[in-house]
Amino acid sequence: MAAPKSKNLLWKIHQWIGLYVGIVIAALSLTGSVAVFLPEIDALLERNYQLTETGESYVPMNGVIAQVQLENPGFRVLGAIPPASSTDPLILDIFKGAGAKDSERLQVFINPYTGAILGQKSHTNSLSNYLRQIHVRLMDAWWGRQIVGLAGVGLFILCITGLLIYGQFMKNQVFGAIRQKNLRLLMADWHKMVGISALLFNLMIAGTGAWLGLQPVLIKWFDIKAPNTFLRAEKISSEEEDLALEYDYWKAVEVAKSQIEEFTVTQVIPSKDGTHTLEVKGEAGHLPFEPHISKVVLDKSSLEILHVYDIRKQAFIDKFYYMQEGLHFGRFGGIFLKIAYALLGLTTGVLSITGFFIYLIRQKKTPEEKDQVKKTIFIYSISTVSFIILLGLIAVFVSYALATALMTPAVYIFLVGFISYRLFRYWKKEKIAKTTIYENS
Amino acid sequence: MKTAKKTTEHYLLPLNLCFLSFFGVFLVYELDKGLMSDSPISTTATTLGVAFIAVVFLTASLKFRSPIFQLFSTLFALAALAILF
Repeated sequence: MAAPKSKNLLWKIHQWIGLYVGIVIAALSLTGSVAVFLPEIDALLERNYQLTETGESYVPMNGVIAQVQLENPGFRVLGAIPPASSTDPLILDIFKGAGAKDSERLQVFINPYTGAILGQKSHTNSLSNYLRQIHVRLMDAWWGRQIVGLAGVGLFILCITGLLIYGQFMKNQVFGAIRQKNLRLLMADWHKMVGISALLFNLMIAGTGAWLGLQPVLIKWFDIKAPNTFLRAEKISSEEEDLALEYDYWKAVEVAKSQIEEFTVTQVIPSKDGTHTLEVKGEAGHLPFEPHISKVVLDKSSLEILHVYDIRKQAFIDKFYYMQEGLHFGRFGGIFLKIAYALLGLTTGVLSITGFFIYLIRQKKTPEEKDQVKKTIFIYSISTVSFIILLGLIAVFVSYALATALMTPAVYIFLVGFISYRLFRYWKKEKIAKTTIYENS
Repeated sequence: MKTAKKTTEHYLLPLNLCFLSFFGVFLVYELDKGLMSDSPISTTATTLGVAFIAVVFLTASLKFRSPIFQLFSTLFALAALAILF
């Protein structure tokens, strides 16, 4: 019996979206599963800055910050990350804005007990920055984030259409039964089983990914106001005076901790615009919200409390807004949650590969051609992984700016080439079909 | 395939798998929170217990495909969700 037309349409949507978005989803699946472990990767690469000896108390940070600024002219302090444990250094995040090519962000590691500068590393050319940037915007400086957002929309449609056609494709088959009759059936059964098993997780990743990718555009189009954007109304001094103003870093951290229950401070950001404020940001309660979202804003000199934002006490809409990144990246738990996220995240890659396999093998007629599909899939997969690794090596060992300069045009060349090729194939197929009908009539 | 069996295989089972992944990830998160020294204990033992039983039933529903058991697991998972939120 022929399948209903609506089911065929759903199947066609599933197939075509999968074909066009599959390769991006596969790359995002791989990079996302690694990106879940960014803090662990950073901790591993920065292990040399761990303190072997601890002291009784922390030294004032003013002199140290001045010293760092003196040694790095042109850089301004973005924020200071307090030590998470007694053997962790304080990390000063500094930035020099000099156009897309020469801008640089450094992390300076400081012994908080002595004030000694332990060393510094480029954040721009770091492995964690590369992993984040390739996952968030495919290293494409133009429309990369939006392309990733569209891939999220595509994945969402794939999940929904996949669920709707699942019953039709299962027919009398029971869930979990893997047929070994031929490679196409084997792949199809794995595709269905993995897809349905990870459906909810993939829907969540797709929805949050689509929002995060398209956020800048959607905010602009629909005039969405981000919550938690406190700004002191009056300017107290000039920008230069504000930058030079000294403040008690450690006391600010303590004052902020006293304002929010179970508050772990992750960043202290001094103002640079003359408003004389200190933003003490952090996390409270290991909940699935984006990092550094709870905050206390203090006056830089007097440490008077100007604003307190505890995400747990906000309205549902605020929580929903800030839950997107937290849920997407899965860093709100510990190592076991990250492992679970990484494994579930890899399922979209498996679905892309098995889906592509099924598509290709359907196109082939002879057993020789069908055998060739395995090689094609292998080459595609290895090439994608090698390309991601190569790009990472360029970003880390040569320069991030070079990697992104190579990647940005490459994304558009690939997109134009791939879509043109597919359209040409479609046009050729249609032409052959029309000719056959004409000859037969 | 009988209609009841089809309904179970094509609709209830995918739904149960969604519940299973949700409660599975939730329990892993709670395990992580339990292992952290600075973490507050915010989830009650009752909620955790119900979530755990839901995971057990949902996992068992993969093996035992009786429509009644599938439906029971779905309803139990819904009740666990209601307790959780």
